[in-house]
Amino acid sequence: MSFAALVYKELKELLMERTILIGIIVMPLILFPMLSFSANIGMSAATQTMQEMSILYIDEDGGEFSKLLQELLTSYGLRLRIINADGEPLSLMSQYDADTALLVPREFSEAIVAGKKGEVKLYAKTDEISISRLRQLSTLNRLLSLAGETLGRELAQKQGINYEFLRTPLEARSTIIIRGSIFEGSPELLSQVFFSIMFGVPMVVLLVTITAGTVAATSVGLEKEAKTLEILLTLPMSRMKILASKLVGSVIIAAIGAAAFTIGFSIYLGAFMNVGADAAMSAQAPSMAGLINITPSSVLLIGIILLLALLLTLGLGILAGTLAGDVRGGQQLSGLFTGPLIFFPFLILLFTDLEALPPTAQLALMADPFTHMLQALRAALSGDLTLVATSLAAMALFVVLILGVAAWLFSGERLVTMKIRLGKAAREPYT
Amino acid sequence: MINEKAVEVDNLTRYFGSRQVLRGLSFTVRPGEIFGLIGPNGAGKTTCFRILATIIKPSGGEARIFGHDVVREASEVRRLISYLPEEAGVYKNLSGLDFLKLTARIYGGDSAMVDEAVAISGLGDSINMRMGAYSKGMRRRILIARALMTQPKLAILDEPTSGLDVEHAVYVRDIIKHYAEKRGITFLISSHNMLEVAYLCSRVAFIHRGAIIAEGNPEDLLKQHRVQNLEELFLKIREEA
Repeated sequence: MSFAALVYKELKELLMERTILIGIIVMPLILFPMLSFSANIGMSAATQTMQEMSILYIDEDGGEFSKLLQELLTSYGLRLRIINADGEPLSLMSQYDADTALLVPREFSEAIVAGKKGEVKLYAKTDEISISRLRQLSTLNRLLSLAGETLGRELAQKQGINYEFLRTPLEARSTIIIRGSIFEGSPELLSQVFFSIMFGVPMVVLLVTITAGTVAATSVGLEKEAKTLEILLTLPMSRMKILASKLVGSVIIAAIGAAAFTIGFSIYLGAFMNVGADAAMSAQAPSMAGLINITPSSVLLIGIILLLALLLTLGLGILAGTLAGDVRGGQQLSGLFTGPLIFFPFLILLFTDLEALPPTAQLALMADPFTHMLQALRAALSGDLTLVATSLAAMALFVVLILGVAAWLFSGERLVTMKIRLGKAAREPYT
Repeated sequence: MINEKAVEVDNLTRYFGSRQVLRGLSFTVRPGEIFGLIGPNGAGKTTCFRILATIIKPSGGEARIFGHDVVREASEVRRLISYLPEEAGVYKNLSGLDFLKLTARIYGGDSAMVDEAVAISGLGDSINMRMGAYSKGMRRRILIARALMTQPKLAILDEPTSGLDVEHAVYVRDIIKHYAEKRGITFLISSHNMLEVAYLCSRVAFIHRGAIIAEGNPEDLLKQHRVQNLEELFLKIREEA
């Protein structure tokens, strides 16, 4: 009963704390959708202006393929202002008040018929380089390439040549066998899947754990800053119970923060996902199922890993809050403790395996509890249960060690007397 | 237990690093009395209170609350006391009522305990306000209510009226007097305000540089040292010490 009351108090105080409420819960839900909204507006604007853009089509050639090119570009939705005149392209652009022009020079069609490449020149004037303008120009360039392919196909058909065969006479097929599982797909595709899962899942776990550490440090820092700690410590309950209420409260807030981040980030990513472009990837998805073990048991394992990781960072957060004098000091120290411990192994193991490193580097990484978390996550996703078990055991040892130190500090009088801020450490002159 | 002492402090010492803050502090408080610990800033009052409240440990000596050692029997001591630190704050996002309900739940109390605390605070409808919006006086009232609602055997109040305006200070003093007389709660208070001490306390102890330099009934001490008031008394005995 009294424990639940303390957890309630923790939640209410933390949820209403501006740095927690805004930084961890509100910001992800507002910032990511806002970024997504802005990106959508930018992209829509670029697409819209593309359709509205008037392109000066300077046709010096006037031949069969120049006409065909006109038709093709018009069929793609481009608005062409066609002029059949000679002249310096930039002068013509000024004369016709155009900021984009395509020049089809003389003998364009003749060159193609003769088996040579026909050259088309794109001229663009711009006062400033913006994403929307660059997107317009790259789209225009892509449409030109597409038109070029279509022209080639037409030409080949006229000459009775199998265009598709000549274009790609070689078909590369890959069979990659990973730990006995066969993956029928390109290494590029595998790389995409591997990166999105092996990077994405640990990234979310890391964000949740870092958040939890900050929340725990804030929870203790708030008590010190508001000078409520001494009353709390004289309540008729053990300090371990008080500590546990802070841990539980922090985990709940961290979970809410993680959900807010995931929702916000999903919205953000959604703005950039091109479903059509990923059709090929989706088609091969079933063949990847055996490769990445996202099964109920792997989800459960990830849950256990997340729980241990949370306990690790909560312990570090409590340590930071105990040593600091206020909320800011606690958050600073928490970042100092958890940041390097989390990001060093994350960045190193993103690009290489632990076994590929020199022995000293391996030892150094093994002394970092978050290395075992990353190893456990990888192993859980790839179904390597032995590695999962050893990594979880190592994490559990670190949890016991860090929570033990945190509990020792929390139960002692350093909780009241220490007031470290980055750059200086001081004890309050109690009298 | 007729001869039981509410507080028994015996040769208490405390160091912070190499600095000695308490130098063999000794005094006793009888059950039901309001005992005042008087001294200037830095004399060691807060350190003594923190030791009695089980927040920090002494470097030497002993302290007992109703017979329970503050180090070895800290949990038992915490069940007997209420401690109000001098600069104690509030949970700014809880309402006054939420805070009192929380305290009642922790102490296993019922709605009657909460009702009494609301009455002690005298905050009326403001009890439902977020405590972050409370004035200093209102915060002190709610903290006094929290300290007394649990019917402690000993209330340790560090500068209970420090920084309060007259209205809030008088209110707090009356509450202390009422609960000592009607409920038999023992009070150990510290104060800079000698008038307040003279009004409230049945016995006082003067602390200077971590040691007691005089102890007794205020009137007896004034007569004994032939001075008019406690301020004069303090200055005189400090010079003698």
